[in-house]
Amino acid sequence: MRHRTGRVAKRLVFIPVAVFIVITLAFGLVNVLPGDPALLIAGDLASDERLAEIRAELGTDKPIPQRYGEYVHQLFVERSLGDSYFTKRSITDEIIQRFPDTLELVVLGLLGAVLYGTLLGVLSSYFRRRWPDRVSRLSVTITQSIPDFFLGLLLIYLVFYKLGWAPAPVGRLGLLDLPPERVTGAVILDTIIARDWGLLRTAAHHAMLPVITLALFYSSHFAKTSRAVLARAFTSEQVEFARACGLSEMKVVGYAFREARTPVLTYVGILFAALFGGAAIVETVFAWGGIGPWAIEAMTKLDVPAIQGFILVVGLLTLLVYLVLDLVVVALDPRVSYE
Amino acid sequence: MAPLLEVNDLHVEFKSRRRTVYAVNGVNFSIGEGETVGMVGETGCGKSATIRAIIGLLRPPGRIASGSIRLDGEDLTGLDARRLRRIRGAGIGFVPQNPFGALNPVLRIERQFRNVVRAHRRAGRGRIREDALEMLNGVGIADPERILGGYAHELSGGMAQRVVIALAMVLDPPLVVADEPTTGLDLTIQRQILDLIGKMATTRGSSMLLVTHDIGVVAQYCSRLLVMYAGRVVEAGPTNIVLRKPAHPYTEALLSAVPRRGRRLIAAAGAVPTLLSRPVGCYYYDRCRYRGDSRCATETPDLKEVSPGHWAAVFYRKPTMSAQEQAPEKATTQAQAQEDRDGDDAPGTD
Repeated sequence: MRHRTGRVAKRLVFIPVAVFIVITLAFGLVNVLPGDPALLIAGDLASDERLAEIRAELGTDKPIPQRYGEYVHQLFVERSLGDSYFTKRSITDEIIQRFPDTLELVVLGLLGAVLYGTLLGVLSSYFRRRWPDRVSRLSVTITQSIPDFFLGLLLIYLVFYKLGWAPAPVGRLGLLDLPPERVTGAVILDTIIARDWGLLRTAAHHAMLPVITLALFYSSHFAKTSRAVLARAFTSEQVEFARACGLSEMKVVGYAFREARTPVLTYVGILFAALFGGAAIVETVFAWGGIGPWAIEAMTKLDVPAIQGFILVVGLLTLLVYLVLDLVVVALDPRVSYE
Repeated sequence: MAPLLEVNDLHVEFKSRRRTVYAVNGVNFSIGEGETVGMVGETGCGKSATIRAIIGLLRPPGRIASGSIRLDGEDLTGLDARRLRRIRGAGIGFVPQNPFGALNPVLRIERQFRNVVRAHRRAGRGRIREDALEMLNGVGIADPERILGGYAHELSGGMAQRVVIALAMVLDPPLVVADEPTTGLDLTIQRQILDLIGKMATTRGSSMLLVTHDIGVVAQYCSRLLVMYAGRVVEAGPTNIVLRKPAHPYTEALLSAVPRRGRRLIAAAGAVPTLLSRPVGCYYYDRCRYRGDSRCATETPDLKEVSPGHWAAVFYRKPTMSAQEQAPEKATTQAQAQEDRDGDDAPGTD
């Protein structure tokens, strides 16, 4: 037990260093980008005086070390991410407004991907080279070879247009629905908090297709990893001994599955972070209105504070997710602490 | 009295699309109640396939092609998966080669005991814990309480194998099958574990099938011996008789390949056939020192009794004079050397 707490402590000491690195990266990545935001704001025809004026206003005329200092000062002293170059709105507000939507989509989508993917992996490895394995591999091949936006459009065409099972892809709720009272900003969660079950139904209904799109698209990762790990596990001595002791097949699958937990969890962490940008296309297709499309727009317009804010938030979130994952892995696997 | 385990004309095949491996080709043997039987042979001789067929865990594409395996009169080859599962663990205990591989790495030992017991009967936690503690005591673990609360990786090799033996025997199976139970262990521990297995089988009155490639182990622990070659039992009989007077040239070759002080080590020439097809004639024909006429090349010898209780699958016994003189003498020295090495607890042979 002592070993474990030691490991956790080491992990926690690393956090401030990692946060500092993320902050520096968020600043560095944006400021070494070629292109001049002032030029984008003023347009190609602007005079040099006008450009200089805008640069002074944005602060981009100062040397980089000074700007870095000001950035850090702004973060820690003013506790602000700055304002958008274009809308002049606070980046913190923009992110707070959009972030919960994306979080909800990513969490639900990943949950679906993990459930569906590992189910495929379990079936595939348990019935190796028999029909469930073939079906599952076909599903993997299809979902990983179709681009996610196309998968989304395909689902819209089939499930909304042809079958009429899903509502129109117009966002979180129907056009005439009033959103629930904003508590967390996550619509589904807010409807639950407001105990508005009718609205929850609507929200869930609208979330169905985008969640399924993400779940299907990312399920292949989980299916492939869990299949590979489980195929080995099912022929392992551990599983053989479990069978030789007369354990039921359900228990045997459980024994084998424990081997696959760590790789699956690792994938959850990696994809979770990647999806904050990666879900942008799906968010656009379904008019979801999350943080992804907003970040992409900021990139194309070189809205430096917005890009920095996005990188910072996603970076910190990634750190947090990895930390939690590490703790979960340590909690689940008694061997980890000794390695 | 009917034997506890009776294997009759067992055939096991590994059939894939391109080829079929005939791993076990008509194995016959039986194990009586309370008897400890050793099974020896080179790698690839069908030992593993035979015991895996017995515990019903042949790895695909392996399957029992024909024959019967009777435990207490019940044929296991015809059983459905449910019934077979109940036999495993409760009817037949299995002690595998590598104890670390066999234990679940992420479950506490107590939980593993619970899973095994509850796979067969309803039992409360406290009851199972008591049984587990008693078993662990029985396998010579000094602080069973601590072991129950711990994990597999905290155990040494010998300890892990003790825990595995306790798990395999917690349901008091009438038959224990041990598949080279000491291969993965230090030499110093091997002896302790074998002694333990022997003791456990005796005190609990179980029968045992001990699979090994170490003839020394068989000499010390088994009352009867089966020698396997190319998926067949080529010789079977009381250990002391088989070791003193091997009737099959393969047994002789195995005995010559055991290192002994003051004697040249003779490696058995040739290799086990690949068994991609069933050989024509005697399976040992290619490597046989004594092979004779066309009969050896065209007919497969069945086991026949060469002396009371001693069976061998041969047509001819040591046809040349020199061989007749040499072989038994050599075997005797080996058996004696064996006893010398094994010390006091070797079974009395005189």
